[in-house]
Amino acid sequence: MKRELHLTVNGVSYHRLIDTHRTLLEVIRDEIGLTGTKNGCGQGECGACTVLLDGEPVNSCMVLAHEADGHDVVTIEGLADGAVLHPVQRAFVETGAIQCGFCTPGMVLSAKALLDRNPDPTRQEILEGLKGNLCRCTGYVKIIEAVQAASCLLDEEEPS
Amino acid sequence: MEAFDYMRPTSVADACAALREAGGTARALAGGTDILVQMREGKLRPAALVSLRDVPGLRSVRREQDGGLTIGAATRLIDIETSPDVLRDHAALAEAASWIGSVQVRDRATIGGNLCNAAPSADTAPILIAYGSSVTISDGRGERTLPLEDFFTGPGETVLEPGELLTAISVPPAPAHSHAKYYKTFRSAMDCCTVGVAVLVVFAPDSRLVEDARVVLGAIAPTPIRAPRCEEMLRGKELDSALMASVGALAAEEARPIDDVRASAEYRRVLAEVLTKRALAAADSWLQKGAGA
Repeated sequence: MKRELHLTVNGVSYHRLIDTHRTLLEVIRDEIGLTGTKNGCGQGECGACTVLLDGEPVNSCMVLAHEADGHDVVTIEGLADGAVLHPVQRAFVETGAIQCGFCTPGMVLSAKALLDRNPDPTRQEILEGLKGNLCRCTGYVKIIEAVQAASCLLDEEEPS
Repeated sequence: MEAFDYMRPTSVADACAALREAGGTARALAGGTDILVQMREGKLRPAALVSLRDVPGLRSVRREQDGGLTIGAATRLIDIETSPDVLRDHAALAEAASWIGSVQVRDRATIGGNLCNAAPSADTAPILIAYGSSVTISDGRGERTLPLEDFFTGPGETVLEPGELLTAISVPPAPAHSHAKYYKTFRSAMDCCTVGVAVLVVFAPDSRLVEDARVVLGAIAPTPIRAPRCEEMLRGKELDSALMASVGALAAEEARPIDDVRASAEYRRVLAEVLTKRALAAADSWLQKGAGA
C-alpha cells in the first residue's frame, strides 16, 4: 500500500509515493539517497540511524516514514554549512573522536541535540545523552571529550 | 518488514472504528518503539496499524485541582520525565520514565504504549500502580475505567478488546506524608529491567508509623503484581530496619519469577528483596530529612 509522503530533509522538500511499511531510515537512504544515516541494529539500541525529527533525536529505523509525514528531518548531511563543518563535527575531528566512523553520524547528531537542550552538560549528562549511541570500536573517552570541546566551541561562537 | 495497511484517523471514534473493523488483526501505533521491533522480528504480524499521530487530546499531561494527574495515553516518555506537573508531586514517575531506553527511544515511546505492550518488565507500570492509577479505555462510543493493576492479563496481554483504545491514565494525588520510589536493575542501559520494584509509603503525620503502603513488583510474574502481604506487614507499624528486612524477605516470597535470558528465578527473588528494602530505605531517609513533617 503506497501513500503520498511529504518530508523536509535538510531544508529540501520531498514529495514521494512511498509504501506505508517503509521506515524513515529506508526512505532517507534508499529513496532520497542520503547514506550518512546508518542501518545498525534495527532495534533502537545502537543509535547509528539517529536523525533529528523536528530537532529531536530519534532512531529512524523505528519510525515509520509516514509517521514523519509533513515534518522536518535533519540528517548528518544537513549539519555542515557548505564546506564549513558544524562545531560539533569540528570538535569530533579535532579531538580524534572517530575510529571506524560507523557510529559517528548518530553520535554527532545526538551530541548536537544534547547541546541544543543543555549547552554546558556535565560528564554524567553527556553519558546520559549519548546512552543510545553505541561505538563498537569503544572509543567513548574521546567522544566524551569531543562533546565537551564542542560545548566550548559553541560558547565561543555564541554572539554576545 | 512485511506490508500492512496503515491508517491515520483524526479522532478517537475513527481510531476505534478502524481497530474494530480489522477485527483484532489491527494494532494501534503510538511511538512504535516496541511494536515495530516485534514486527521486524516477525513476532507480530498485524494486518493494519492505526496511527494515533493525528488523534487530538491523547498527548498531554494535566494536573487536576486535587493534585492528581491525567496523562494522555500517547504522551511521550520524554514529556513525562520533564513535565513540571509530574515532577511536582509524582517525581518517582518522572524518574521511572527517564530510565527507559535512550533519549531517542523516549522521544518516540509513549506511556500508553509502554502499558499496552504489557511487558512484565514495563517500567512505568509498577510506579503507576503504586500511586493507585487507573486507566480509561474508549471503544469510540463510550468509556470504561479500571484500576491499572487489573489492566494486564499476561505477558503482552491486556483487557483491551478489538476496537478498544487506551486513552488516558489517571494518577491520584500523592497522599500527604507519603514517599514513592521505583528501583530497577538491568544488565545494560538499553535492556529491559531484570526486576523493578515500586513502593509507596504513607506515614502518619510527624511519625514513623506507616498508615498505608503499596508494594508493586515488576518483571517477577506474568504481569506487574502487588505484594499484598508486604503491604499488610507494613501497615500500622513503625518503619525501622527490622521491618524493612522482614518486608524485603516477604517480597521474595511473593514473587513468582521465571528463569530467562536476563536472570534466573532465584536471582530475581534476591533482587526483589534487595530492591524492596532499598525503596523502603529511601522512604526512611526521606523521613529522616524531615520531609515527612
